[in-house]
Amino acid sequence: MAQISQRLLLATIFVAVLVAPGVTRAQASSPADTAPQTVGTPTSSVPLPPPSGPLPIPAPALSDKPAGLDFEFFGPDDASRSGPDSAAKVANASELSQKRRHRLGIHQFLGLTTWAFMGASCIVGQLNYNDLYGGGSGRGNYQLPHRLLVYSTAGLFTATGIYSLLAPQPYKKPLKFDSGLVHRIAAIGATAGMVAEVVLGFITARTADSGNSSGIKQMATIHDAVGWTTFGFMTAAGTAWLF
Amino acid sequence: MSKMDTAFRVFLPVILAWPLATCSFGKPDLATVPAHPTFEADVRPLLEDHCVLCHGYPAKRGAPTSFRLDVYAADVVPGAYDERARFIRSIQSDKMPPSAAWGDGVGPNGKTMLQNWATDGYPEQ
Repeated sequence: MAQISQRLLLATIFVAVLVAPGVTRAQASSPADTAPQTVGTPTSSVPLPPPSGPLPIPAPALSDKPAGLDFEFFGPDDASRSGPDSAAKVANASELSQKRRHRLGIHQFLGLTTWAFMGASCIVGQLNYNDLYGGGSGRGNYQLPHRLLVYSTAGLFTATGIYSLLAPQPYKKPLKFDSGLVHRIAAIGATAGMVAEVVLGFITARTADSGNSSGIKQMATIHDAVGWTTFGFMTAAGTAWLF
Repeated sequence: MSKMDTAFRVFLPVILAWPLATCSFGKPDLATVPAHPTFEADVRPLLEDHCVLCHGYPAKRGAPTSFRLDVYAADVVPGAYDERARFIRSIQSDKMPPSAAWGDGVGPNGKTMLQNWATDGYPEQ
């Protein structure tokens, strides 16, 4: 008995599943939908007058082609628009695009490496500052690691910048506020900070090496602050692509 | 962007850095050379300008801890008089301070003054 009830229940569900779409379609469609409609008129969803009155004059079709998904979103291709010159231009642009993608790929890898090195330089530089000017031992244990890191960072930063500058631009892009613009602004800030860092670091190191203690702590403090700011710009330049 | 522009952008930092590398960051040379210098009046100010940043007490920036140049005689560790031959030789040969190789060392007048101090027998006062 229980088995029969189960079979009945399953059969009911099966029939309900089969019938339900038809019911929902029937509920969704109004009686007016059954009347003949004009194709392409914007008033097709409006209920039509009862068939007893005169039939409305069908609006002229907008296009001879039937509506569908077969259309060209960006218009006709440049190559097909005119002669072989345009085809060569398109081929050249394609080649330049590939070159640009390759160089910017390397730029991205170098940029992320530079960011990591800059972070390490800032941390070791802060330890060096604390050691020499912040009441530390003054032995200069972090001087050599800091020096090696900043030389590497400056080299990587230069290489990153060169790869960015040497990337060709096949298409002219209008200036607008987007990730690219934020990246460029942050990169310009990082470049300015990096140049200031190299200059300040060089002056501080040379002043210390000459035994001249005048103003050396102030220069080291500015160098430290500019270093962290530059790291902030680099972080902003990198994270700009995440949004 | 033409190749000339690219080259200019790439080498601009190098062009700007060149004058910086040729600047002097050390203390200027002595205006006059004292004929009979003493440690307290003449030599110690010179050492403070060029050496004591590292060779004080305690020694800093990786300098050896075995001597100090901010005092005349041995106190905790040997002083300038005790290390006289070595430190004067280092200064005269532009081995010290480290920036002497870049032209930021003790100037000719300072070196002559140290020579006069040695000739007089390294007087303290």
